[in-house]
Parts: sequence; structure tokens; C-alpha cells
Amino acid sequence: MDVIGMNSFEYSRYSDQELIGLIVNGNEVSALDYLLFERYSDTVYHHIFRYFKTRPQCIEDVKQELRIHLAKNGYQKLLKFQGRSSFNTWISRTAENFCIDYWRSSFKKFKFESVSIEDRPTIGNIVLPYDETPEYRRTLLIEAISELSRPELRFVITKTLEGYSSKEILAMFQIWYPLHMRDPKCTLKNVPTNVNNIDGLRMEAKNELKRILKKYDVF
Amino acid sequence: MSSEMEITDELIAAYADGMATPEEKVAVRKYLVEHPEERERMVMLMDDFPTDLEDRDEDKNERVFDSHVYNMAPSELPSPISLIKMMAKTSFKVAKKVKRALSDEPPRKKDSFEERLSKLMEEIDSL
Repeated sequence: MDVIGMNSFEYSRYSDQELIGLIVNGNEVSALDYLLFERYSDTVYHHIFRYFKTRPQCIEDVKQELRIHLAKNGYQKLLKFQGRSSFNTWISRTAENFCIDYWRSSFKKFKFESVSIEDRPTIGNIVLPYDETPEYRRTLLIEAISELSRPELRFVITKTLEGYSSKEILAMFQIWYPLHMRDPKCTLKNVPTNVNNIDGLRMEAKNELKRILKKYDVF
Repeated sequence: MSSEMEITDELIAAYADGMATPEEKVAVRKYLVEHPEERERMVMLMDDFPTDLEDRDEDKNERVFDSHVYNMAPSELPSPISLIKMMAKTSFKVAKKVKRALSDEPPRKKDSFEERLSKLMEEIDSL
């Protein structure tokens, strides 16, 4: 194990990119541990939990395997991170892909649904161009969510699409709001207190999504 | 050409953060249309507050109980006494679910992600 590493308090003063530099150039494995298991531990845990909630005994192993996966071949995986997205989003994607591969290698029966381009909707024998399909419109809707101007609107819409009810979203808001109230883009003055507030935010989000989607020719 | 662009994890992450270039967006859109399972994963990436209510004990207990009841019905309905015992062990909220499960009303099926996405699309269209 690494002996030259700093402690968590010292690492907390570094940005994600600086920490990646320490890991890749200085071989500071403890900085990788700090990123994975402290700064982004909730994110990493959440994604692993999603895939392994029926096998909780695997979660700790998967976390350690993910750490090894990121460290192998001289941190090849980390070297690919160019800072074009937030590290949080990148590690989410990486952790998910890793979980899928882990599932596939560990539990052979597990399969992900995948639809080939040949399965696109047709009219008679004519395959619709992909940008005229309902799937394309739904894809643009997802893209529009990334352009929502206020984090609280994005929060409500993503949670709605994940299948949570207004009541559940209200409960989650109580934890989310104190963490985001200082975000300059967050214009909420107070935490929502009832489901009507959540429904109101959802309606605001839909109106903004409609405006964003009008930019595209298909709407 | 967008069709030749490699769809890397970082490109997917940049798209989720709204930081992809217009050319990259075109390539990722095509990829998402052709890989519907990736759409749900994209929304998960856009969620900056990952949490899962399923790890709450209360929900977990309810789900276990629900599956137990649904598995019994309709071939092996519990006797009134066993039903009362079960109800005593659970909250009033869960008891209501038992009643619904044993009635003629079929258990409500949770929508799939694509169904929720279509519903949202329809709601936006109707504004």
C-alpha cells in the first residue's frame, strides 16, 4: 500500500483534477481511495447498490474491484478522463459500466436488453429515418433535461422519470435542498413543504422543457 | 462524420452535463435512439442526487410483505385469522395494500422507464 499519501483532510483541499494528477503522476493510491470512498462514496455506492441490491454481500467486493479496475495498467482508465464533464458524472458512468461487466462475468444468466437498429419502427416496409421516430423525440427530451436552467427543476424531473411519486420527491427534497441552496442557479427560497410545491416545480420544468424542445425542428 | 464518432464514457458524461459540442450531441442522440436501454442510464447520470428509497427499512419491509401477499393470491388466500395476524405486524398503510391485493382489483403495476418518458412527452405536447 501507498505510504507517501496525505490524509483525507489534506486531500479535501485539492480539486478533482489535481487529485487525478497526484494519482496518475505520483502513484498516490490513497488519493484514489479518497476520491472513490470519501468524496464520491455516495455516488459510487448508489450505482453499485442499484445492480447488487439483491446480493448485498457482493457490494464491498465490487467496490474493491472497481478500485483495482481504475488503478490497473498505470491508471489507463483515469488517464482517459479529460475533465470534459464533472468527475461525479464520469465516475457514475464508469461505475455503472463496471457493474454491468461484473454482473456479466459473475452471473452468466444476466442479460441486458438491447434493441438493434433493425428493430426500428416501420410504416409498411419502409424503415423510418431514426430522427423521425418517437424514440428520437424521447431522446431529445432527455437532452433537454440537461439544459434545464435550475437544479431544482432537473431534480424533480429526473426523480419523476425514475418513478418516484411527488410525496417521495418531497421527502428527498428535505435532504437535497440544504446541499444545493447555495448554488447560484437554485432560486428556491425555501424548501418545499407539501406535494403541491413539487407539482408546481414539475409544471415549471415541463414548461421550460417545451421551450427548449422548440429549438428542434421535430417539435 | 457523426456516425464515425466513438461514443466514449467521457462523451456520454459530457452529454449528461450539457457540455457536448453540437456534433457530439448528434452522435450521442443517434446512439441513444439505437440503444434504448442507455436512455434510462443517461437520466440516472443527470440525477445529481443519487439515492434509492429501496434501502430504507420501511420500504424494504413493505416490499417483502407485498411480494409475500401477491405470491399467495389468488390460489392460496390467507384465512381471516392469519390475515389479522399479518395485519397486526404491519402498518395501517401496508394493511390497505393487503386489502387491495385481496380484492378483485389487480395490483397496480409500476410503469417502466420508457412508459414514464412517453407520458412526460405527452404531457409536454399537451401544454
